[in-house]
Amino acid sequence: MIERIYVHNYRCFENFTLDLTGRKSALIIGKNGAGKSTLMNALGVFRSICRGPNLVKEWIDPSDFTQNRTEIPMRFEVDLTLTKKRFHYAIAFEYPLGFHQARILDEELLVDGKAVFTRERNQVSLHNGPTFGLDWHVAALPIINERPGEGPVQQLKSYFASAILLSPVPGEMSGFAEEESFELHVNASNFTAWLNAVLIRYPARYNDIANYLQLVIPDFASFEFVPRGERGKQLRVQFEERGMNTDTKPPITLDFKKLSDGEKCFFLSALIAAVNRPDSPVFCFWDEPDSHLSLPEINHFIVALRRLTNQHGQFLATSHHPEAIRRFSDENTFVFTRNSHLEPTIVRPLSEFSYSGDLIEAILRNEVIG
Amino acid sequence: MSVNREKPHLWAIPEDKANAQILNGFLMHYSVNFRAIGINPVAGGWGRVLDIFEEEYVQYLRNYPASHVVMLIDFDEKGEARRSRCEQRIPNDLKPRTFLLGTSDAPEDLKKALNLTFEQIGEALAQDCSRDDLGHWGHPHLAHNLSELQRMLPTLKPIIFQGS
Repeated sequence: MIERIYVHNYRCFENFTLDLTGRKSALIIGKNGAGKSTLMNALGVFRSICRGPNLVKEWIDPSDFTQNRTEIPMRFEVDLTLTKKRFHYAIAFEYPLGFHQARILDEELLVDGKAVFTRERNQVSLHNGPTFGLDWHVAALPIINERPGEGPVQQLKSYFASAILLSPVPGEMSGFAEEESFELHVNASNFTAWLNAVLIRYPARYNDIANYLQLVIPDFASFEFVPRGERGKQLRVQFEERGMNTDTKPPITLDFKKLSDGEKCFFLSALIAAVNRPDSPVFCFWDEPDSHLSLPEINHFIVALRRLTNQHGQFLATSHHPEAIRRFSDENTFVFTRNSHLEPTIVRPLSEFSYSGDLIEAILRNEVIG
Repeated sequence: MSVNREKPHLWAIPEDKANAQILNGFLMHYSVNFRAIGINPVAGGWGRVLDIFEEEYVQYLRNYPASHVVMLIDFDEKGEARRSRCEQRIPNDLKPRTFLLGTSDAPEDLKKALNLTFEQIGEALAQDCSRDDLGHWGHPHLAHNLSELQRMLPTLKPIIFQGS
């Protein structure tokens, strides 16, 4: 579980700290431009480091330095707890004058307070003494491996590599895939490849997904992959009437792309819940999970995602929607504010605001996020 | 899917944000069938809870026989007098499906006494209900609810707890 994120000199984040200690799920609220999506991008830097590619220029662009202040290092830190071990990972970037890309200034990983490795520019020092040189533009974390039987570094890398960062564009979720992938894109365009990969590796998860879908789409019956073209597969979904009249109308099967935007989000949520397991908990950040849902659906959709935490997962969301906002509480809601494009994001827990009455009305009165 | 009006379900009307956040915690308990529970927005005062009940839920309860309502109010140390005033506004035919719970004073006092967050209180109360253990319900701020709980749980437990 992520306990703390610190980011400095990255886009609108200056000396930015998000303290998630003890919060298994949390909501970020704030006006447009306050930095909510930048948080997802910052998390994406950690994920990219753990997933690869391994080159700084793939995750950090010179324009990411706050207001082009390239003379100040850009810094990312994260503290997290996994299977009772405390991890601290930090990496800083610099962008020297005349260079064409950022490079790594320092980097370190600590487990339970002990350094696994530290790095100063191109020199990496392992905890047991050896040092080696490394290209300034290559992160050390992905290439540090442990002896068999040891596991914390691989555990950290797997956790971040499998982090789900979502801002789905249902129109891009076609239901067609030519390959499998465990790395879901931010817009969920490769959802079918992800579903395919999960079911090939863990076929029993089909039941979890189908059970979830039957709860939220009453006439959902089943789904299947149908071969299309030489290597492709098309996801098809079958619906049937339930109750007394099941024999009067035959079932109907639709290509996944024909489903509504909200129904595609139900599939996404079902799969996220299915892959979340106590021994491999997911971290999920969903930018506006209410976006494509009808009003009565939002309440339960958010509660279902928040309950990922009952299986040791962690769920962060942003939202502007009253129903989604109401399903979180003062203790797990953060307010992002930013006075102008020239000023940084400020984070405050909602519990520090002394609004009265209903939060939504307080937001409308500009008492909270103004 | 939203609450299914034709199947047994429950609507909760919280008086204020503290009660709403206790409900949020209640929904987080793993054994709670959250899909059978809807939460009304914060009413803004115990009197408004009753107003909303009369304006929006009396007819709803009559239209949908599988529906139930729990009103969460602060008793503000008025005890049975407040309960009695509230119950006077519940039509007799709906009393078996309408329930009234709340802290003896305000949830903030319970929060302070238990040193828990509102969500943690809600989750703990769900845990106690699911196990027929009145643990937290026996706290001095909540103990006055026990007779209402005894009336409520036989009806609502099969609805709000999976596998009950």
